[in-house]
Amino acid sequence: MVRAHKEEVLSVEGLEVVYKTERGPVRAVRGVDLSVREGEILGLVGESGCGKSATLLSIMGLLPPTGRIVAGKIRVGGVDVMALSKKELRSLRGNTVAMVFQDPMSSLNPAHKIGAQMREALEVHGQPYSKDILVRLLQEVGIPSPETVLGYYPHQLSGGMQQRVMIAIALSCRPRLILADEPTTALDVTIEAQILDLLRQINRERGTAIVLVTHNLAVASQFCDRIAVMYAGQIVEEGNVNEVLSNPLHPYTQGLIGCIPRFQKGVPLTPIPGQVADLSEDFVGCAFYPRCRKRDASCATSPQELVHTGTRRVRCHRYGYVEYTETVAGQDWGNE
Amino acid sequence: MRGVKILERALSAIPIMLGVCIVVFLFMRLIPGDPVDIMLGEASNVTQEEIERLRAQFNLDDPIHVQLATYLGRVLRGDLGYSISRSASVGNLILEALPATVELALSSITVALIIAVPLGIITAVKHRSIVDRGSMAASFLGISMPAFWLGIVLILIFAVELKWLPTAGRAAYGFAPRHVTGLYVLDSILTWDLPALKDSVRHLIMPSIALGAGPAAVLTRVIRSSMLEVMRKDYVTFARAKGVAEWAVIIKHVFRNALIPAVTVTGLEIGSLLGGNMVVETIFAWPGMGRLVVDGIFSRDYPLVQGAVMVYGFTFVTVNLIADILYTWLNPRLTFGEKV
Repeated sequence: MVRAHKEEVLSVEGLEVVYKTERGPVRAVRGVDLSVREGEILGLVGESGCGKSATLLSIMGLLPPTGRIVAGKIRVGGVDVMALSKKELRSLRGNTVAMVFQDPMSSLNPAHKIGAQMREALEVHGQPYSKDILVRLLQEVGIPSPETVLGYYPHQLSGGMQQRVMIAIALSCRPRLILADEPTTALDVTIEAQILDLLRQINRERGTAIVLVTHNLAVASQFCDRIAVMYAGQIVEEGNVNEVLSNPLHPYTQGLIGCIPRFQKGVPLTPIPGQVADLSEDFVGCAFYPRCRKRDASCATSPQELVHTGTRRVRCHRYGYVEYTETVAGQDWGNE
Repeated sequence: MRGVKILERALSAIPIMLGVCIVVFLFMRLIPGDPVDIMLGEASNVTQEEIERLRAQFNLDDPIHVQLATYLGRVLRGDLGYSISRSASVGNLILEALPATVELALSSITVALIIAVPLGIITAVKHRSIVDRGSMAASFLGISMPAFWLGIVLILIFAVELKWLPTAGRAAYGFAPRHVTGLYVLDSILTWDLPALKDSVRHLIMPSIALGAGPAAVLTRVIRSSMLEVMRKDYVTFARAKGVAEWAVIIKHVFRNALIPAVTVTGLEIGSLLGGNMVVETIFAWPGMGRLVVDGIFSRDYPLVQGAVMVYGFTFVTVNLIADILYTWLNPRLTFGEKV
């Protein structure tokens, strides 16, 4: 569901992020382009360490001191984030764009009461923060007996409730964009569904755009309008979620889908061989080449560009030359 | 719930105190020579009979277990006995000396905190900067420098050479404030005696710095490392993501949580300041517990040393109890015993 007529809330162009480490620089993000429109949910999918979180943190201007944006442009609601002063950036954070973190148990300050942590988010942006407002915010995210919860410390709530509180804080200033970094990874499966439902409801009712970072394709398939698959700091495939998942064009996406367990006896999982690319290295050709089942001799040497094809994008030079006839589930891609 | 726990902790101090009492009693008697030997010293015209009579007078001729039982019985009734060398009740001697030591300990820990809190925060925020490295080098120096040596250097510079500060005692003659609590600074404020206030502060400066330097160095390191640890937490990034200003993130979110280990260490430091400053008290002729104990040991004044060490033990236990109460207040997860 691409809503082309809606305003673009987030645009990222050619983003490159480098982390300084003891082993030398690590190029965590290598030229990422993203665009999210009002009311849209974009899934950012990939294995750990593929640059998903670094991309989100760059948008918020929250990279740790070791990380640096070396190239690219980030616009939130049309505003160039990288040109903002620290103060202007702060007034953007939590206000126009809010973030929901992975682990609610460690993302709420253990020393402050829920009410105080919610109040702070409103206070810093000059919003009214009466008790009624806080209660209403908690009601909106489905927390029972909100008056009591305001006086609780985070440890007195379950993980699911803590995540609801974090979402309430994220929503408190009515942001146009929510960046959710694996918001359900730390939660039980049943709670996961509830939290995703809540986020979707917010998206539908308010038109809040959401970028959902996840390594879980099943979550992405249920929740997102569009997904972008990342590998080694690059987007390797992007498009409408149903199209991408039913007809993946990039061998890596195909590999990810092959890794999803199915409720069928006797269908073996097809793991992707090898290990995630080392981001401290530079690649001339395709970053996925060493693990790819469809590589040819030129993959290692010819640079891979993101090719547009209709509403989709794919970063594989063999796309168009090779027949991608396989369908998704449990196929053996080895006997090409 | 919380009250019960505090009471439990307070009651658990009783067996500890009893143990301290017995150990000190026995150890004192391991030192060669008894009070009578020391009192009579080199005097040659004393007969064995007179010595025996003196020993009997102080009950030193009883078997040791009888002496111990008698002593414990008295202590339980709140009677710490009678000082042999000073001819005064041990209780009264301690009541005179304790405020001096408490005042010095409080002012030393204040000096330490005034240095350590800002320095700990700055070094953590400016991690690996020149400020950080310089402060860490200075704190290494602070930890390595013995308090008595620093005390002597301070006296040489500020008293002997510059003549800015007095070398000894708590107050110049005639300047001591009227007795209220025994803490001169507090008393002179309570009685609004400005000359006494000025005089007692001047007397406190050097010994407080000498004693505060070590704890300042330790606390700087503790605060710095726990700040660095807290700064990596998700809730700090989340606070930034809310749009909270950097200084507010540091104070409200990082420092508040980093305080927890610092409180524990501060408690331990106060405890050891109350107990372990005999040398510094001697250097500055500070009429506190340290000097009382040192004099007591030299004159083998059993009741005095035993009483003083009991008080040390008691203050140490109390200070740690207070630190634990503060700790649960700072860390709400500990307030509720059922959930951690």
